[in-house]
Amino acid sequence: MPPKKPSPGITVMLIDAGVNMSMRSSSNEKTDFENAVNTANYIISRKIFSEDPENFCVMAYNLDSKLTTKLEKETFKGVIVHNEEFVPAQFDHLRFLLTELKQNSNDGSFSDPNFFKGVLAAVAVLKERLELVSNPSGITLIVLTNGMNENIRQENYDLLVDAITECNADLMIIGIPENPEYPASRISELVDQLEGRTYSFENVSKQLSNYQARQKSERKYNKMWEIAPDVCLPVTFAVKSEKSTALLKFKNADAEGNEMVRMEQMHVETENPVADSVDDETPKLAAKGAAIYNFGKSVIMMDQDYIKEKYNDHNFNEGQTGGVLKLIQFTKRANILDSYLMEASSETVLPSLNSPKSGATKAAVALIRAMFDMRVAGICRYSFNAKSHVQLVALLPHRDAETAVYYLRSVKLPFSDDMRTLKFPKFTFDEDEEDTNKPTVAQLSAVDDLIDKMQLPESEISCLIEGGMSDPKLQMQCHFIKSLVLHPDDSMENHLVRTNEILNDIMAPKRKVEAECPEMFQRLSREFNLQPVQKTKSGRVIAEPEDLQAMISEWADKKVNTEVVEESEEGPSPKKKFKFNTSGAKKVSRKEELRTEIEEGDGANHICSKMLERISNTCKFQPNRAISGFFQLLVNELSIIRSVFVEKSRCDEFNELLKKLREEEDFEPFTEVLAEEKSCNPISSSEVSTSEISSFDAAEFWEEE
Amino acid sequence: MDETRFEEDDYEGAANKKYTFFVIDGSSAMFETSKPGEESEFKTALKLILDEMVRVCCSRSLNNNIGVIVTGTKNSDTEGIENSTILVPMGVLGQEEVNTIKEIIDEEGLLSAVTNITGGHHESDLSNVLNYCKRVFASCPNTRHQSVIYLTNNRDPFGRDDFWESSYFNRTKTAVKKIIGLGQRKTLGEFSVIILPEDGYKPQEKEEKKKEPWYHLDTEVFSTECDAAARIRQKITAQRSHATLTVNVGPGVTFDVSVFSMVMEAKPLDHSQKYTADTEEKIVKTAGYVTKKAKLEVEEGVGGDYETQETSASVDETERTLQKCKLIQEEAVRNRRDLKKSIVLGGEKIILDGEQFSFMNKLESKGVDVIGFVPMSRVDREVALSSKITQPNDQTTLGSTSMYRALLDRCWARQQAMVAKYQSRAGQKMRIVALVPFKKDMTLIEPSNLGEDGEEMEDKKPDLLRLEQQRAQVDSSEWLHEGFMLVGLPFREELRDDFRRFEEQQTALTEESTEQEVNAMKQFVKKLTMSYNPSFYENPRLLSERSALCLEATGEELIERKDTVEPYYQIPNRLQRVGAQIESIVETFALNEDKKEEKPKGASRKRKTDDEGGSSAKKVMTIRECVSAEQMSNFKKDELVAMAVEHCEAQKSIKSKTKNDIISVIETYLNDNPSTTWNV
Repeated sequence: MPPKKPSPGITVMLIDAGVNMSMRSSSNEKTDFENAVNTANYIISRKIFSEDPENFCVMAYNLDSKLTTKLEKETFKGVIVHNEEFVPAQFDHLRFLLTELKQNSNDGSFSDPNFFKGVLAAVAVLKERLELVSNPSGITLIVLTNGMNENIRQENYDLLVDAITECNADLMIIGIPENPEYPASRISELVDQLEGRTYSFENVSKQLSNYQARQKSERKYNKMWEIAPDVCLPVTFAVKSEKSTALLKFKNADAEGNEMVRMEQMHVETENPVADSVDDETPKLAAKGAAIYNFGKSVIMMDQDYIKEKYNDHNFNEGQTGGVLKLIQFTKRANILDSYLMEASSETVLPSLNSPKSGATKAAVALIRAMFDMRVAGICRYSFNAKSHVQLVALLPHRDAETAVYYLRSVKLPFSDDMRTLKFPKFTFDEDEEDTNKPTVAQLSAVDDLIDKMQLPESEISCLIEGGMSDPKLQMQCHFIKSLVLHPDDSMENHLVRTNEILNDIMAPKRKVEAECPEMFQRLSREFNLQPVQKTKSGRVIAEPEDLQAMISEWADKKVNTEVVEESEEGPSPKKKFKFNTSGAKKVSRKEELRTEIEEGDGANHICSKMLERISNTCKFQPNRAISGFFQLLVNELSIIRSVFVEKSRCDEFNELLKKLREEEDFEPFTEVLAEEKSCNPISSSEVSTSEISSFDAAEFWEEE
Repeated sequence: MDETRFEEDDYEGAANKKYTFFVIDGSSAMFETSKPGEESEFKTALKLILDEMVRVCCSRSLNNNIGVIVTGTKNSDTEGIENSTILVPMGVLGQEEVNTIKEIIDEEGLLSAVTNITGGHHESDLSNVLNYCKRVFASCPNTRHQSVIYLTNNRDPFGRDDFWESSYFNRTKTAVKKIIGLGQRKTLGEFSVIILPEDGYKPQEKEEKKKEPWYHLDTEVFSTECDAAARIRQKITAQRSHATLTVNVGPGVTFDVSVFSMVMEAKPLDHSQKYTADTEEKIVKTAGYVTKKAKLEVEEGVGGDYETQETSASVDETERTLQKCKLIQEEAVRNRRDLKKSIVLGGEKIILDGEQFSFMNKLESKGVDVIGFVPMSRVDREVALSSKITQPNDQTTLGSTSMYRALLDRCWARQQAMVAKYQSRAGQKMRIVALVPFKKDMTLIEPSNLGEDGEEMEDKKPDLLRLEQQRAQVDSSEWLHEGFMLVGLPFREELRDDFRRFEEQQTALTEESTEQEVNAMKQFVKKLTMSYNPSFYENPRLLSERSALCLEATGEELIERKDTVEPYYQIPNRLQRVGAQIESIVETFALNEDKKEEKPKGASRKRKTDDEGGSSAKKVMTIRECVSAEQMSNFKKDELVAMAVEHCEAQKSIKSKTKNDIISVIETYLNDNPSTTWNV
């Protein structure tokens, strides 16, 4: 009978909860018990998020002897089993570890042979499980202990060896320091005899502290590389890199967690789509329609059947099953500029191994070798399957340093349409050209110093550059979810603690340099004299949106008050209450208001200076959406003022105001809006004859500076 | 979908408009042809403009506004612009505008056609035209880019050697300055002169250039970096930056850069809007989110009632659609944001609401935070995530350019890349990036410290490679930009280890290639090694879409539809070039062993072998037999083209069609002409 497909592996995790675990044998400040729980936590958490199918059972030993567990016929004192059912790693396991499991504080039980019993219990659990599952892909017994248990008597030692050997388990002990003392050394002996492994808490924590993503299946597919008519070389593509998509697969759901999916229906537009079905009138179904294309602003309607028939839906795929890979040309590798590489995904291409002795395979091997020697890349027509649109790929030759295997890497090349036309000021100047930003010798030497001091160590290079680092987003998501499940009542911020930790870890190499050589950064800062351009003067008011709202209403109130005061001062005039609003009827009233005001003594100046004050106040805020809405109101107000001025044949005060706005840096946030709008130019001589500004200059007012 | 994309489209909203005036010199010299049979420069200018107009029309954006003006005309119909005629007023282009220009080009007598519009030739003042353009720009809202492109064949428009003394020159120069502006606000202004014919004399020495009046108005007028069409394109489509970010080098040392995408997939033309073909009513899509269960029920019939379904399938179709509509309208959640997110992990179903979900993914560390430096060679560019380029931005931090350049100079000389933490804006994915320097001058690279690890340079290879890199620059100067490229580095989850695969290869392929084998391949590779530049290959899909659209809009196939990514062996002279090498490969690797019997040996060329081999089996067949035996698809495309041209009165342009199209052309012809046949 052929061997059955292996079932998921089974693992028992056995934690020493004895008094001996109060020791602090690790360099961190935690007790061995805390470290053991942490380690178990790491192991199980990783398994949860990577959706490892391995089946688990968590046990603890060296507990109060009143706690007993009965397994088959035997009763084990001081041993508890979380759940005899083996299941893939669960949050429940974590809850047991973190909340239920308490270290034994009762010193009296120390004389019992606890390690012996604990391991025997674990083996019993394993055996029980083994009767139910056949051919598990691995059997593991992990014991988390500092090994400071009893002296294992030789007869017990032998029994342990027999028991573990019998169930064929791999033994792994975590928590025993290197070169252990007696009695931990006894456990080391046992592990050695059973060909198991021991780890200290420190060296596992380094390996385990990151979450892992679900194992992705290794996608491979075969292609025939057509290098000439009837000459096809079999090659195998396998994914080398790809942009990570959702690392944890969330689904859309309703409040109960039922999966929600998108559903679409095409139909002819009706005025009241909801009423249709009620009236039992079938919504008009659109079988096949014409698509609308835009040719500039013109609308071109094209029948889809026609496009299908005449242009094959603009698809140039020849329809070969399995797609194609056809040689278009070779080119020097140097011609494939880095800036052409547009996609995250790349594949490793190797000769297929279906018939390694065949001529075609040999030809593929020789071709790759030839390309490598000549530093030449192949450019090919590529389609993934019989329907996909054709693409352009480059096959770039490589040689693996370790195995000396020659291989190709396939990357997608851009079409001419994909290249962006860009134009930048140059950095290289001829001798006779003026070069205002040429770095000085002192600046260059400061930069050299920076490059020397900030060289990344090898360990960082492999982490940061060579894909050693896990996506922080995955770490954040895992941490958040775990925290949410285990502490549902915590605040959101608490769930996020890890984010800063991640960022700090990434920046650690730089922080070190910053601490070690502050003078280097001072020198750079001196040499380059970098100055952020302040949009407004330093005394900028930083206001939160809520504050802003409060200020606006406060300001409006004040405005009303001043209006009232003015009213009493300037005698009775038919003014309405000023409202900072420009809609419909009020606009008219505001106009009237201004008309009256402008007639008064220094009215025109007054209007303008009030306006300037208002704008100046608004410009003090940090730009945000509320502010830009507010600017809009001010622009409207300004337009009204302008129209009244024109009406009354006044212009100087208004033009003066605009000039002030344009000239002073403080008003830039507002003038940007004005310049954008172009609705509020100075009053020109064509509008008011006394104006000194020509209509041409007025039109360009916001353009030049 | 949930992932924030590292790659983001440049903001192309309504607030980002580009305005371009094409100004054509309308003087009589433009209508003369220097060589008989060649078109006049006025026509060349119009064609350049038409090409660009068509290209703009076939793009997805409606932000490009274009106007066309002819100078030196008797008519001056527009106020504010004397002796110049507006062919196309500034605005978004459409069918009408394109056809206006196209009709002029198509006219037999170009001069008379133009005279009809312009009223004949009359001197005009360029500065007046430019001032008009400037006024139009000033009146347009949301300008981000204003450009005037002047096309002329007159290298000496100001009529005197000391042109800089002439008031006409100075007037023009002032007008140009106004158009360019001085980095004013967010608007980019440009003035470019295109001197026709393109292959005319172009001074390269600075002193020589200075003698040319146009050089004083457009310093790039004699640039040989790219042709006129590409220059026009650059002027019209200059990209805005993707983000402006602060680079944090260390305490007190920060400068600003703008980030630009160098390459981004051009999307197919938008045609999501649909109308019914007959009644031209708008077709809309109603969509919403329903429970998976409900969707299955509706789509597959309720309760697995399969039998009844089959008997009355057509009725059910309508019925089902009705149910679907009802479901969407009455029960569906319309807005995705109203949905929750669920995931099953560790034996539990975890449901997150929208707020929790976004909180979970919240990471705010916008900007570029330098971590350290690494040798450039350590960065594997082929698995990198995207290539963008950065440029210093002095507008937000003074001194940025100096700092940037000092870093660029030293990093390039020492071949060092900066490694940094990167986030383009809050909420976007955070990445580790390498800032990789590039300068065109390879001689600035300092020889690496040989003594340090006692490693010697490998033979002469690196030098050869450098030579090839230098040569590559010449071919693709259009796409090369000096500066720091921003390269996204992959995270662990994004990379796969090849080690096992390599081991497999090692065990399975024990024999190394013999020298003879490798040489056979080398000869083949050598013959097909050619230069490469992305402009060689257009996206056939887009080309086809544009061609079809253009044909509909203008009645003419202004853009040729063709398959630009055909393998080399579809091009006869290329195939011929490697005939002997292919044969040698077939022999060396015994690739024809299984086919030997049916093929005559020692054929002089592979291509012939193929034809003869094929025809020995089909020799007796006529084309009609082939059709009825459905063997048409066995022919190669160029064979089909040859047949169609030779026997079916087809135009040569048929080769731009697909193979299936050509087959149907032949079949239709055979149906229509029952007497025609030939042997194949």
